[in-house]
Amino acid sequence: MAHAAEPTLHGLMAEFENATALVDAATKARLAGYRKMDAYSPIPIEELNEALDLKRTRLPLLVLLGGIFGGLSGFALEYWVSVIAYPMNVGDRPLNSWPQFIPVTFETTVLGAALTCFIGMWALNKLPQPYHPVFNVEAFGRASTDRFFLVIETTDPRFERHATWKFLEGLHPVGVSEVAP
Amino acid sequence: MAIAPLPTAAPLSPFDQEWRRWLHDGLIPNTAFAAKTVALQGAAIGAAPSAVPAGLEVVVRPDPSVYDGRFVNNGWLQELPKWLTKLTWDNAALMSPGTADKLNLISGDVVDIKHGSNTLRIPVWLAPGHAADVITIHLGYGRERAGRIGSGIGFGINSLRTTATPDFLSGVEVTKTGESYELVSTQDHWSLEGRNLVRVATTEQFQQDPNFAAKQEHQPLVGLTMFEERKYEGYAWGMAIDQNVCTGCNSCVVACQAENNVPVVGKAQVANGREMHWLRIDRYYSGDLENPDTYHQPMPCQQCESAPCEVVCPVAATTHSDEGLNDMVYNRCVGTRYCSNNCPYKVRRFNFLLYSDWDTASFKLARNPDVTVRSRGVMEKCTYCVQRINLARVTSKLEDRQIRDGEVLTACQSACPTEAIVFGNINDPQSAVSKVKASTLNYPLLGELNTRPRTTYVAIVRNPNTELEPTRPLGTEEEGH
Amino acid sequence: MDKSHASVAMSAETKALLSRTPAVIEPGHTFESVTESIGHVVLSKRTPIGWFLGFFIAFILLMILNLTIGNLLMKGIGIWGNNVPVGWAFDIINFVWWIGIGHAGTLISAILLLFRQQWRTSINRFAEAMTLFAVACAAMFPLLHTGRPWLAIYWLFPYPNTMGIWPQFRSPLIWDVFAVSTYGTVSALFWFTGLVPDMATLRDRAKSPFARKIYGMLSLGWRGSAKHWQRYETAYLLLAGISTPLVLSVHSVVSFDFAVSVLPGWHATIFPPYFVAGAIYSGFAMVMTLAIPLRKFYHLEDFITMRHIHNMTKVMLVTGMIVAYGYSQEAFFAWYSSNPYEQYMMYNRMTGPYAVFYWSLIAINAVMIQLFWFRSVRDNIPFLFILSLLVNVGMWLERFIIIVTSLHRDFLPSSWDMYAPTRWDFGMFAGTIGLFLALFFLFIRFLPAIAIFEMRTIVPEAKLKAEHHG
Repeated sequence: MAHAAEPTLHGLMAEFENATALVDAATKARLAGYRKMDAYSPIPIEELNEALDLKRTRLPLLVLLGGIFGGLSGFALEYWVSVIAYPMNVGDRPLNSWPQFIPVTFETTVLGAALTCFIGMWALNKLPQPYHPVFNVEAFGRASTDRFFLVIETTDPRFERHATWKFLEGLHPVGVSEVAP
Repeated sequence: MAIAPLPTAAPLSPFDQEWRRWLHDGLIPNTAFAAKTVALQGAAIGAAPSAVPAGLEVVVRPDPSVYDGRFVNNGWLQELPKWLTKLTWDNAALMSPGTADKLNLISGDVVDIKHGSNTLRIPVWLAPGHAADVITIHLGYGRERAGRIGSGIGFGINSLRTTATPDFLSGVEVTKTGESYELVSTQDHWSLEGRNLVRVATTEQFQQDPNFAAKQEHQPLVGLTMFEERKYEGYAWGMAIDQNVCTGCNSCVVACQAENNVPVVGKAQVANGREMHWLRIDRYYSGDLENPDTYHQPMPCQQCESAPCEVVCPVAATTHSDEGLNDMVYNRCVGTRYCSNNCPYKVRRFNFLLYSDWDTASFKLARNPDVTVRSRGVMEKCTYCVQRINLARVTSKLEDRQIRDGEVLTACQSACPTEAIVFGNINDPQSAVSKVKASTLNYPLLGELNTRPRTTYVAIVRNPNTELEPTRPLGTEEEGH
Repeated sequence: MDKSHASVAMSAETKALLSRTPAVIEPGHTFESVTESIGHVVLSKRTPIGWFLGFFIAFILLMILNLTIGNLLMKGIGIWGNNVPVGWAFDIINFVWWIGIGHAGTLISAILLLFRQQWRTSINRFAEAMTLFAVACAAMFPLLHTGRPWLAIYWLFPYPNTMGIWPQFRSPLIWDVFAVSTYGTVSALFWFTGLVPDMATLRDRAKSPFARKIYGMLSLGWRGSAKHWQRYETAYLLLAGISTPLVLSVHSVVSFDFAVSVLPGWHATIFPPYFVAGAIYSGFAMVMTLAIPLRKFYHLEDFITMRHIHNMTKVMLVTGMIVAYGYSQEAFFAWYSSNPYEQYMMYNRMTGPYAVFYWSLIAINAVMIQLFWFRSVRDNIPFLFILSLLVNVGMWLERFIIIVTSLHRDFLPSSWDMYAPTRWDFGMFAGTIGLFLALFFLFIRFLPAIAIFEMRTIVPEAKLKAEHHG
């Protein structure tokens, strides 16, 4: 059941020394019923996706749509320009010189897909986001080098300051800290 | 406004009346010389020298561009590639390759030509077909005070000529100096390289096979295109160039330069292959270099229907008009030069620098106001004198009629003394150009590239005197397939 | 090939001892040591004197570039040696050369990722940077080689205008515009995406507040969240998948500049694969030219190991052989076609005025590369450095032969002429080398030359223990 989130706390953070410990911790936390949590690591860890039960991202679908849109726009531009907007006799070639329109269409497809991928990924990740509560923990500085962190947020229904602290300590971390909001 | 009355003519004096009659008739009556009886003096012929003097002989000739030197200050004529040698901005000592070989000379070697006590230092240029042991030097060059352009150009023959021997100098000595001089020619390669660009046959061969011209190259079948050939309604401009009568005189080249504001670029730029003539005359030798067959082939833009230049222009600066002209849009051209690279005829010219003088105000009077003056970075080429076509079209519309055959004369066509260039509407079967193109001798140059040029050439039929010219003319050896 | 996902409890040490193949990363490294070795080059206040020397030389050349471009814009293309018939010369040779060099970076970043080749890890960052800088150098030429670049810069792009006119899409030069700008954009996006986690690392380790702010902004606030990593890895793979056909298409489109024309020696269907292979070949040579001094002067031999040197050499051998095959096919078809223009073109290349350049390029690209078969050559680093420079000389000569010999003697002998470059041609080329080096020196000083987070993934510490596959 939801209870009032503590306004003075974002969550509790446990620091681990290696990836295995983090994956174990995340699995155990999930089994313990925690849902609103996040893991932080200096490298991507595929097993974490399972441990945290992350949904598959819809980015590939967006990229496909972006590519299709790019391709259709590219060809449409070429067709419209050559056949409708300003048709000209160029070397007696047909106005709709579709074989010669293919390279540009290909490139606009790639561009559409790549731009969608880039913008889509960062947008879905809600980045840039210069501020986040986890940066308030000094130990977190090593998250980008060689330490692994698990944070259980106060918005989680099972969160209870002492119980969750105890639970995290039971995972044998290097340390547990409070995360200011 | 009152008009002043015409002055009344004063009555003519009797002398004036007679004078006018003499001018009209062309002679003064009763002033003819008395008839005289004459007899041939056969002895005089026997007394003429029979032996050819030893050593080389210099022949002094008027220059094909600057004549006797009166035109040295004319940029157009200095840059005009001379007939046969294609030299520009200089004269040279012309000699046959055999003579040069004997003297151990190549084109550009500077020699001292000594006649009596006079010496002229001049570079040599090899001229296939030139008489052996004779050197031709053109008049007019080497002037010191000839204006801004003409001063200090070329080598003055007058230091060798004497009043006794103004035209022929026998017994000259030629010494190699070991120096080199850069002579600039617009065409360095004279050989057809076995390519059937100029198609030739003897009258006998022509009578046996009137279609020899078509057979001498692998040509695309009519209609062999992936697309439907466009139909041109209205006017369809075309040109035919008769190689049988072209003498290579260069009139067309200068006419084109005058008509189309073609800039003069100077010797250094011509040396780097940047001359701007829209129309050039290609000169090919074939056979023995001491006595070759010489061919002249004027090359304007061929106005190809499937122009390779149009397809590769990224900004559509060259497209096809609905009368069949390959239009060059100067103000759209950004100067990628892809069109020039893709032109198999290399008729396109690029303004590598600002060749046209934009500053001198008096040039505005010299230039043709109907033709754009091009800036640097812009491509240009023969346009079938589109300004003249447009003028004729406007005139004919105002007069509510069609353009008559012969009403539009391109500049080159109107200057040609032998009427080698014929231009007109190929959609009109009665036009002069259609009749020329209907001949079996008519062929497109590089037709196998399927460019479908609107300018075609008439193959040469020669009637050689087999006692004088035992060698067979070009083209009959290789049958294309 | 190495098994990057095998769950074998064998250390890199043992593996290397067992096989003759050198390790992808020397043993004994941890997350911290990897981060420190690469990061300290960027974060330390001291800049080695060698860097200043190198940057100074690059800067001088860059100023020469300024001068040549200024003169070009003021006077026109006439300051170069181009003429009619040789309308394209150094300008397009340099364009193709630079674009070709760029392709190796994308191949390493994208294609080797898709093939799960772990050895790409320590070289992909600076190789991709090399691509970006090479594309920057290349992109100047299509613009500046035009007679009126102040118009070309926008008329080559489709935009609505008062004239109602648009680019002519059948022209390979427009295909180039789209291909090269897409390539530059996608490479930049790909490269920047890969940089972000490293920016986070540098942000967290930087001492100076200014450095922290800059890296902080560039890191976009990256915190290594698992949710982010998941999308990030997906995006990275997708970009690699997109970049693969892109890199194959870009040099194919560049080859169309020639293949679509009618000229003998240009109009050949072998051009797209032949050019792409040549691009990869010259690109890897450039990566080698950069990797050898980089690893020596910055003590990165543990990360850029003999394995990388060997593999790069092998790639060069393969692609060089494909290029040599291309030469043989050009010669074969010139003969087999019975087309007199093609035959003369080939004959002219082999015996004409530029024959010395033709035979030099055969000597380098077909003969010299056979040295790469020998292990002793692959182990000899100074020799490989010289060979990698020669490969790029050979590839430059190849473009020279293709462009200049086909143009200077084509269909009508009356238009045959010679081409000679001027000092402005050489100056601009040297200037672009200066631009490339200047950018590269700035890159190695201010950004991590090796992908730190990717290096961490191949350190033994990264493997999950027990039943997890890692």
